[in-house]
Amino acid sequence: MGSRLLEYVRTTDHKQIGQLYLVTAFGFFMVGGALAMLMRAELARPGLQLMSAEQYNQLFTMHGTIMLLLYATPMVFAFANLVLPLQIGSPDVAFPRLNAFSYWLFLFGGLMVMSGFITPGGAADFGWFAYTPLSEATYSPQVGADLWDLGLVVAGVGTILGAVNMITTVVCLRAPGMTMFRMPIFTWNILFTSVLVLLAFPILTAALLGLEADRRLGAHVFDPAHGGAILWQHLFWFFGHPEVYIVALPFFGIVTEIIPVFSRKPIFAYKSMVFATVGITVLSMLVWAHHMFATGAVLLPFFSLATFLIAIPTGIKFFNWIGTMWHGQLSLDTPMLFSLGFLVTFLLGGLTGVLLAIPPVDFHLTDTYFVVAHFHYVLYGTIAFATFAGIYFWFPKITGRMLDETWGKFHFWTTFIGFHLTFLVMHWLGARGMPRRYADYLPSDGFTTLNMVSSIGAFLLGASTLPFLWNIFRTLRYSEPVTVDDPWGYGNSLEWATTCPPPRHNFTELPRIRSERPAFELHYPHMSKRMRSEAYVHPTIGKKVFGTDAHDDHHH
Amino acid sequence: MNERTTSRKPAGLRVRVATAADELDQRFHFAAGIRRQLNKVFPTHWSFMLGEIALYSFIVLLLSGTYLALFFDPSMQEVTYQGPYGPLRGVEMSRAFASTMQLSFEVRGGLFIRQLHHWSALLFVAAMTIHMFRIFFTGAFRKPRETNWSIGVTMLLLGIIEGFLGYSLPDDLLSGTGLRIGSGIVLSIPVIGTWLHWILWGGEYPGNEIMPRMYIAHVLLIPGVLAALIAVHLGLVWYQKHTQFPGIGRTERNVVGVRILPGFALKSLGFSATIVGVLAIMSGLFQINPIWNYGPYTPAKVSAASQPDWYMGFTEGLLRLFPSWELSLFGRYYIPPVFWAVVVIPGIMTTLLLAYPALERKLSNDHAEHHLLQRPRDAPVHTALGAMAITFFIILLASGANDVIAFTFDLSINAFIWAGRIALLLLPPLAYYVTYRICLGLQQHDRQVLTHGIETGIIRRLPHGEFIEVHQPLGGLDEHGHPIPLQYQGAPVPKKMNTLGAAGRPVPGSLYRPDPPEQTAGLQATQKEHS
Repeated sequence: MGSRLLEYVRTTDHKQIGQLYLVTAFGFFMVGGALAMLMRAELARPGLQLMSAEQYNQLFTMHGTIMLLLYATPMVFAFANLVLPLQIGSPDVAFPRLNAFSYWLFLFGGLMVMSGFITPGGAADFGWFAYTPLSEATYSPQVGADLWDLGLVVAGVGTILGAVNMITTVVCLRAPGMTMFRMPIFTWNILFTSVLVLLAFPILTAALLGLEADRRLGAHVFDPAHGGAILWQHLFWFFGHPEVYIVALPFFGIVTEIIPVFSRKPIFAYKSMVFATVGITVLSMLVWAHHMFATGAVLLPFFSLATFLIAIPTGIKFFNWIGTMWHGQLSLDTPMLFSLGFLVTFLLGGLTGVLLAIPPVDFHLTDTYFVVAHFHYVLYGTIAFATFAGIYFWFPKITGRMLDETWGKFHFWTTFIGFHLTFLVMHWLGARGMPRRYADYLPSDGFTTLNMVSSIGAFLLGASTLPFLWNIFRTLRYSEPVTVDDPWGYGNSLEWATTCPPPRHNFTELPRIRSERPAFELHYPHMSKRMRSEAYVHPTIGKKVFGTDAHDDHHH
Repeated sequence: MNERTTSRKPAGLRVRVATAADELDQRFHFAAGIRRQLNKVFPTHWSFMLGEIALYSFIVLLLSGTYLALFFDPSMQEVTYQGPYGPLRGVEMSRAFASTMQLSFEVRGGLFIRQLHHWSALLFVAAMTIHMFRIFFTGAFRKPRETNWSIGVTMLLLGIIEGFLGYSLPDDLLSGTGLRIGSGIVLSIPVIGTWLHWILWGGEYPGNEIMPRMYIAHVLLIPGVLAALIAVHLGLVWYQKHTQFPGIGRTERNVVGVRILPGFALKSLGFSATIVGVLAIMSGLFQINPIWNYGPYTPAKVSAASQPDWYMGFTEGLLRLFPSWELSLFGRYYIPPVFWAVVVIPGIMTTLLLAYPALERKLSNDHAEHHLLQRPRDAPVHTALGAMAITFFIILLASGANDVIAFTFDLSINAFIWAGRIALLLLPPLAYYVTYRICLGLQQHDRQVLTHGIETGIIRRLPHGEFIEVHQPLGGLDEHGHPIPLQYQGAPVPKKMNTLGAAGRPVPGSLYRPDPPEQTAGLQATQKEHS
């Protein structure tokens, strides 16, 4: 126990740092969820029953901040640390100590942000995008706002360093034979996510330091007198929109790893998947001002069109996911269930996103619950569903034990129903004009029934974490250890070619890497030839791309 | 002596000194005894120098205090200030305060010496405390050195009292507040409180008696006792021998180290000069106790943020954290919470501190003599107890300043008091548990390194794809090429390749240039001959 404690405190092992990230980020997720449940409790009925409007403001500000920057972003690095070095056949990340340093920056930055709650003025209460001049010292004098600001700077530096580490690892530490175009899609997506982090997070750090200079040193960086209010919005969203993709791409990657395994097929159109990621990466840097349509200070046609364009690479990904499952031997284990939950939820969020990209529609819907519904469908659909999918999928690789399937399915269905109950009705609330970030509404507004439904859903969603925690506890306590390298049976990437959990430096032997499915080829050598012939579409013969022939020698 | 390191100066002076010494020896016959003492060997470790810091700051205290005593007048006679400091001109004050003002603004070098005295006092108590930690955590208090532990604790308490008396003497508003608390504490003692107060103060608070009484205790009684105790303390170290850390060639029966002359004496001389120098720089640059800002004491006034010197801070914290429980007996007598907070609890703390060596001897049933020190990780229970005590003390210290902290960081003072109360009960056991576990973890890591060797950070990929980290074995290889496991000897285990010299060694020389190569070579040759 003492040595375990010390081991984690001074570890530079990417697998342990990944676990630290995972547990810490999940802790923040539960805190953010608790705040959300408090808000939903307040909104269930008209009138202020539980808290003041100021406390409500603190709750939604901290909920947004925690979920985006202390849960979703670190969760990226949790999975990147746990899986990426294994997938490319590397003994560790490129800079193990920097990796540990990044984690500790994240932890203490996050605790700084949270500590605002114990200061007399309360935590930050200006919304997670901290629009100036509301977030300036005049309107938000409390020290909680400074803790929020500087805590995010500290955590953000950790994120930037983490991205540097991941890029270097992918570039320098691939095993012999692991060419770029044999890398798993998850690794590709982490690579491009890290590029986005390097483009976006320094902007946030600079803007936050400018804000702090305004607040404490009397600077006038974001003074409305010379357009500082719009400047903040530009800087914030120049970070904020890529951030949405920073917390989306890795989770796309997770489901892209899961779907082929539970469809018993290779990924459909591997290269177009990579290029779709590239497309999203490029386009995501060009669309930030669609958050600012209502300011009247941005070029509507450009940002509207760029936003529409981003639906194309995203659509390609959807096409490929469906193509992977098409005619596959689907097996609905919990990781696959959560991946399907992701597909359904994210699709709805993507569709409402296209609607919001139309400026006249946005003028009507901006700052209403329609937007709240939209981004929860996008973000929860991606991050939370894929996080759970990834945890169920890689849990044996992390701990050497399989999570229980029955409890997992129970967890999935409560989460899925709870989520849609909470957020589907918000579309109607928003279309009827209920503004977001209001602590209260009138009985005569006609919002009561839908809000009640939403709150019930929220509590179901919150409660759905309990079977998950119980599942983890009973698995770690009572279940049988996994004795094979690939307990799912059809794993593709290299992490399934080593033990569960892997040794200190990941591999006791490496298979030859001849395709993007080295572990599959290791476990099913007789399938290699057929896999190659079917993966290749001959221009004149036009042979089928995916095998459904009855005479196949499938390994069942 | 070696011809390479021998001075080549003319021998005139040396001959004359030798002749003089010989003349003295013919009369007093001390050569034999002194040779024996000067050949005494003293083990070296940086942590053995902590007590010396206390010793040297005590010497600075004696010298600077003597200078102050030439000008300070501990009289409570009312005077009107007419000195050069404008803002206080025309203000009524005691002669004690007025003479301190005169000392600060009119006596040449007076302010510097006053600040030197105050900084040295802070350092004196701090050095004793840190020295005590060293003794505690390395188990140097164990048989046969329990007596010296008790003497040390007594000196620490005397040092605290001496400091409190000292900063009370100027009769300024800050120290007057402290003295008033002291009066309240004395009054809170059941049955004898009022009598004791009458004896000490010679009447009601504040009266005219207390200042001269504190003065005589401060300049004569306590320093005298301290000086005597220091002599006994050092005498016992000399007589019982200094402890040493376990290491190559070190046993319970020998002492490995340097001789008093020239090595150890030279080092101590340099160290004392350094400490005096640092204290002088601090006293010249950093203001301390600016009594002219506080003003003279009047019992009707208390200023905000009245904090005592650091070593009294824990009593302030106890006063602030202790709940307002009043014990009422027969409706006639009552015991105020102050009694429990600053008489009973510090009493228990002191008793535990004094009794610790006996307690540990009793509970661990270890009655053997110990001349080899323990590494803190090898004695997890007493290390964890120490961490627990330090945590307790630090929470009290922080709580003593909770108004300042709450104001600076915009926190609620009430919440902070409650946080202090809860922390005082929860954190020390937590500190015990965490420290204990960390000790075990460190032990295990030592043994891992002894068994497998040092992690080099070099990862090698074998032909079949396995990754291994290259380890540097500490004890050589057996015939199969496996590292020979070593036994743990209670001594530090090298954990990094640099400790084995992987990164080379620094070249002797100054900060800017290395020594001439031939001098370095000569030094190395000499060291080789002697080792």
